[in-house]
Amino acid sequence: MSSTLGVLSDAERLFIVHGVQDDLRSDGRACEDYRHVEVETDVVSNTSGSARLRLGNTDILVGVKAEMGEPDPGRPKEGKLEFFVDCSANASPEFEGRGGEELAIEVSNALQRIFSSKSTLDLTALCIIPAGQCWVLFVDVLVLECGGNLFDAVSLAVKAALFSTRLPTVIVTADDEGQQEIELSDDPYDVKRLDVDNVPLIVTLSKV
Amino acid sequence: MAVHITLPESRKKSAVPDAPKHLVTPGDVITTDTGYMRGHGTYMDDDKLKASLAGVVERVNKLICVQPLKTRYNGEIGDVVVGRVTEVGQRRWRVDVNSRLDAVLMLSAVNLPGGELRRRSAEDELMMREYLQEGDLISAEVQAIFHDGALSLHTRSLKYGKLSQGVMVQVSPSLVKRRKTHFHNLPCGASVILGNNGYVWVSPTINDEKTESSGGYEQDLEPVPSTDREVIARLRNCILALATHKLLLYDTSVLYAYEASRQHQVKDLLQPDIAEKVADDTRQRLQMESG
Repeated sequence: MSSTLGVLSDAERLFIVHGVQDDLRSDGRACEDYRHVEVETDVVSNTSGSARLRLGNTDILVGVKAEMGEPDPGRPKEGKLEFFVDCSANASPEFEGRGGEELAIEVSNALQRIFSSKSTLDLTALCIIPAGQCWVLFVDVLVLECGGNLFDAVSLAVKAALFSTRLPTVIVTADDEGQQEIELSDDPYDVKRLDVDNVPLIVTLSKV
Repeated sequence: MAVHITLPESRKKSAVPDAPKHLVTPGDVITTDTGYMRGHGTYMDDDKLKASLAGVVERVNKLICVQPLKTRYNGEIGDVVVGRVTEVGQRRWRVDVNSRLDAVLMLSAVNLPGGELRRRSAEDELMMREYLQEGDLISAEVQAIFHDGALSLHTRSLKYGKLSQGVMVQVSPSLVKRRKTHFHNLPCGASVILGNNGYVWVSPTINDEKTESSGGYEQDLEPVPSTDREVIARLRNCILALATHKLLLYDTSVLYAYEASRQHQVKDLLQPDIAEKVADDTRQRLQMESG
């Protein structure tokens, strides 16, 4: 059976359009109202931070894994953020096989653009040894169910996951030969949190 | 733009009022007694009667069958269904009715405009698309069932035909109670068609005089006033609230849910806790009326 998503009769379409003109959608919301949102953090145990978000019928799972790596040569005092988005085939019939890749790349690019700005997240907080070692945060976004408004949901979930990220405190000591040694604190409560106050959220508006 | 924020709370387990007696999963042994007749959802393995579906075991005298918890719509002759046209073919339309196969609506099973009674000609075949296109919603009755299980529909009465402005809600087919009539003009100011296949159509009140001679050919495309629109939105949210909490849908339950929801704003009915409250109030009121 072919996909029947988004197929409407002309009368139904007209009803919706007139509703938008009256600022009353078919489910009673005003044009600018969001659907019910549920956010849960720390859902995946072996990550540094995670979040699961439900927005209407959209379900997003984000995991943040922190690893140590080398900073970019052009930005020695900054850490890195890497995004990977996976539109699971379970999320929508259109994502069958490789159908979800295009959308996943679009979302990933949008996230990269947002976080490339200096005002979003202070990447210098992720630096351990300038031009030596830094924290690299691998943010993995998994779209479990796609029920509309994907960009908004993903940005909300990423912000929540980054908020819940706990980085172990790093102690840098110089040993006898002048080499720098990196030690991670053993105390599970001795952690550093990220300042996500300025992380923006995407708001999608559609013109009917 | 207001965002409703609450403190975190643990997820509530939905309380099931009456626990079902005998739940089975595929492969479970129902009984080893060979005196029973096998109904739907069962099969014989050695001398044991096993379930082939996940559901509740029902026993009527010597007949054992398994009613599935979640299933596609299985049509019966005489059911009222709401369907969406998926294809326009030679002398027939294919209609999606939430079943395993698309239903068939033959050209000979619809009323011609003006109520003419004549044999369908070649021009009628070419004019099929003028009446029903892909994406159009219709209300129809099941006339027959083909050997492969596909349904054959007809819109031979004036109350059936193409549906105009309104909102469609999809619920599970097992939640729509079988009643004498599935077309309800509710006193709150809207009409509801509870299709047996789980597709529910909510629209502005249908005036019986207007559709006397049209049978769905004329479409009322006037903008629906805001008051009617609110009623329709409220009914839609109530129906979804009842469906989420597994309450049977019929005119009384929908009406009680509507009345229980009046103290809340329409868009608040989308919040799970308010929807649960409306469903609980409706369940209590229905129990009081029957008990």
